[in-house]
Amino acid sequence: MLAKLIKHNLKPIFKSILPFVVALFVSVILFNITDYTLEYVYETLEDGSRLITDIIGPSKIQEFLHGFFNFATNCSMILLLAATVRAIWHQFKTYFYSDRAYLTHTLPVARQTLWNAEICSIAITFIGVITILVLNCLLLSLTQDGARVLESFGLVGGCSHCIGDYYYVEPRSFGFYLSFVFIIFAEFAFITLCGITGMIIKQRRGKGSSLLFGLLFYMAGSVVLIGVITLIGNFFDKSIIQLFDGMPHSTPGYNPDLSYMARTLIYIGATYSCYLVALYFVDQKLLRRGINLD
Amino acid sequence: MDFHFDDERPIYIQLVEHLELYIVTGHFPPGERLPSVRDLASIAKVNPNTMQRALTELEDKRLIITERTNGKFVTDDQEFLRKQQQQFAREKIQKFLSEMQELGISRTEIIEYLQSLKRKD
Amino acid sequence: MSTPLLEYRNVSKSYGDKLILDNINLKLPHGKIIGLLGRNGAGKSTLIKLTNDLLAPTSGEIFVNGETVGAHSKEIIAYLPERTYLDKQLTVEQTIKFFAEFYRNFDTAKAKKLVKELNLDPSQKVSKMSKGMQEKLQLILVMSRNAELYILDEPLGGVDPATRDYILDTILSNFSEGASVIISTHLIADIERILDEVIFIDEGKIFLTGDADKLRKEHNTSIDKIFRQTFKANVNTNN
Repeated sequence: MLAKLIKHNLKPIFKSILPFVVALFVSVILFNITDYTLEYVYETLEDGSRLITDIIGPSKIQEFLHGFFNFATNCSMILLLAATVRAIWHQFKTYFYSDRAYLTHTLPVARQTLWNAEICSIAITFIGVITILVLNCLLLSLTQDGARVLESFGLVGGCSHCIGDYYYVEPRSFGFYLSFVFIIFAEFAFITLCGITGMIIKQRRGKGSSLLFGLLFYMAGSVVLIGVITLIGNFFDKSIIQLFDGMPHSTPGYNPDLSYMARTLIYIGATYSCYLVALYFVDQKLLRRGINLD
Repeated sequence: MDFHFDDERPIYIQLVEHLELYIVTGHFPPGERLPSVRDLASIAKVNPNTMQRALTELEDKRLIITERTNGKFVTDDQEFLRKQQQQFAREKIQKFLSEMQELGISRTEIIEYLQSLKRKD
Repeated sequence: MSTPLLEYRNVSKSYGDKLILDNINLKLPHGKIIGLLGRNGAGKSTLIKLTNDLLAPTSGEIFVNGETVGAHSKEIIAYLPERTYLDKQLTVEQTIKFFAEFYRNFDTAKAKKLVKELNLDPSQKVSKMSKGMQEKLQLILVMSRNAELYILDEPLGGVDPATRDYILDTILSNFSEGASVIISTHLIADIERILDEVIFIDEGKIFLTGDADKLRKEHNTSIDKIFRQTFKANVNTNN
């Protein structure tokens, strides 16, 4: 039953984000096509050595298109994530609280199963979307250096300020990328669950705004997150406090110890994970008390 | 076959009356197998439970017979059906007569009416 | 005594201060067609939604075949809500498949037959159908389940006489043997001849329950008229 429910949950979600996936893919491909390499013009000297006499750069049009598709790629990534959150909210609202909910809630399954199916669908959706994002980034990196991949991520990441400043500092470990990807996943899953919790609370109270309730949860979560990081920074892992010190740009060749950033990512990821688990149980408890369809 | 009901009287009693009439008049011929309860209910647009109740009543009146495996059949006792028909006729005439009496028309007058109607034909 | 099909024990439902259902106690048997009769806003839909786990009672308990409402009760209850709850994006065929996928007691062959009799194109999307057609499709899906209890909420609300006949006929010729059917309506004259039992509900309370034919005999009149008289008396006592 769980698998069947998940299948029917995912259908409308993926249908509605498909255009955004296509848009992203197309932008990335076009970005790669318009990518340029500098062409060097040499003059061979008498002793056989060569002298660079000219560098042929991109034409104005090429430069414009390249910039445009770079912009389009970044936009598509943000839009895809936003569309995913919206699609999940819409699916949840439709299946749990609209006229269609009369069908959902009279299917011969326990409400707990419905809720588990919803959670699994959200997880699968985000894993799918993040995989798509990562694949597109890899595609990007075929023609550009790895930094650009991070640059693209840097725009959408919740902690872009701490990455953006350092993105050209090499090398990054695989673990660093992975924890970064995980944080994006956790951040967006948290936003999604806040919205869903807002809807559940609104529906149980019968009044109020689900958006407002959701926003309250999200803001509380963000404040607590900063509190947690400050707390850890002050008492347990003093090095991470550097994040808030507004470090100057690092220069190429200078290779600072960045392990504290990786640790920060782990702390943030752990906090988000706790939030997700907590919201899962809060929502489950609220749903168990029954729903009230009008 | 047409079933009309008056909502002010129990439906199964009216159903029994209709079915009796259809059996006696040969709409359901003697010895013939009756449609299933569900089909009969569908024809009469009534609840199958009500139809079942009416059929049980008809069985008590010996107008239909249940064969355990084959379903329900109209009795093939022609003699009995004929008697039933006469019984109906008698009841109808009795009702007619009492209505005429209420109107203050005597039996001789009724006969005269009937004869004048016949002449006009 | 055998377990009643459906039992309400001290069931109340209120929204804030407003009491919608007031201490309902009721047992309903197997194998009967039961009319849940009351004016608009009497509490019929609320009682039905409680039975289908779409609302949670404020107090009291509901048992279906002796078990509290849940996955088990949803397996044996086929419910037709007032709303159209179908997935508008699916075709008729996909909708039938959806029901077959989730309900073990769903009779796909019967559903396909009824759809064909209605001259519905199986490849048509639900969203492209008229509201009336959607409601008929929904009725077909509900009546194609071999359920133990069918709960039909206002199936005849605002339909023309031909549709009314179609709906009543579909109900009568398709509910499974030995099952009970609860039909809620405020238009009693339309359905009273098919009822075995009636429940009168008004202002959240049960006023009268009983065998339809017995009531007709006792009061020497139709259920519709009994209802009107009961209801009128009720209005007078309130004034």
